[in-house]
Amino acid sequence: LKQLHFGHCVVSMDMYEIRKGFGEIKEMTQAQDQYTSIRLLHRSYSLQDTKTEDRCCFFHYLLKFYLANVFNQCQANSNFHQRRVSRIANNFLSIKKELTLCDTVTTCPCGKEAIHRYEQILSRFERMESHSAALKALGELDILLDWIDKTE
Amino acid sequence: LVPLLVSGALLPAPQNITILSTNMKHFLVWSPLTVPGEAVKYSIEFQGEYERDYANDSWIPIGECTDISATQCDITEDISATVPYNLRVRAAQGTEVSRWATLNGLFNRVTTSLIPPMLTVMADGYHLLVELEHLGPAFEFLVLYWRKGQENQVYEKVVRDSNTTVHLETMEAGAEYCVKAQTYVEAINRSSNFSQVQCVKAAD
Repeated sequence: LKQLHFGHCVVSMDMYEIRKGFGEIKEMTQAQDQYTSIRLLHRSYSLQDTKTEDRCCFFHYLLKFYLANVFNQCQANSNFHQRRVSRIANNFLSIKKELTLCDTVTTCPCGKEAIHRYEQILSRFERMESHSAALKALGELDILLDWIDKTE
Repeated sequence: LVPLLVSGALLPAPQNITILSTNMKHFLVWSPLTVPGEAVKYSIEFQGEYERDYANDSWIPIGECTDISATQCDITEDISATVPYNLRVRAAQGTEVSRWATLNGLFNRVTTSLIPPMLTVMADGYHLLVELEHLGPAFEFLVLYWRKGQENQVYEKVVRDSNTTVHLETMEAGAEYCVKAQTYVEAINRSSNFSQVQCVKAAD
């Protein structure tokens, strides 16, 4: 498990399950991405370079973004694909629930930087056609997982 | 109680659906349908908390557990997060399909039964060695060992890779050493009970 420390909050992520699920659909997902010149999770908004005090909120935004805007748009493919997306999505939900528990004790403040970074990602996402955007975001999951791995 | 089909009636739904979950391996089990005519086939679908909360309560078929004759199926691959899951089974005979029968209550892998691990303790000359049962990547082992008669001085070792023989200690000549172990699953933050104690004697 990867443990992320946000102030008093410790959130554990089953990176093994998530990377396993994503690894099995990564190629087919990225192959369907028609907008190869666009990148949603841009290096300039990376989680690990976000100010420590803003990381929790930014991470929470990213989790909610994937849960609400991405996974449910990518369910239609094959049963194989659907089951892998379900594995990732349910693990994201498990993490978000842990983070929400932390949030209740206000150790997850939302500063300007966190909101700005998230809005940059969301605005790029919303400029694209929704299914293509969701597919691109799903294909960029390895970027997010790398951000998480690099986050102390 | 095994449902008996009266001819012409709709195919009854499977009954007595339960989950057998041991050491993070999860099997869905149900009672067979006793109906005249063609063989009965069964299919399973699952629904995680995500599907309930974000994907319109959708259900996902499990390919390996679709149109099977057996009355059990390994669903471990799809119970892949520590959230509550819903599961359902239905029967089919020819073109006729039963209602879905849903597991009574949600299943969360945090409730799996963790069994004390099997281990083999060996003395190789003065070397105290242990081999541990391979249970998969989700498992770690806490191994405790001590010299017999010095029970107040117990040593421990955490083993993450149970594929290899583990060297615990270089023993005193002729002394007896004892070992026991328990499993730990980080994903659900739970441990098994300890195994039986095994003791071996070092060479003289």
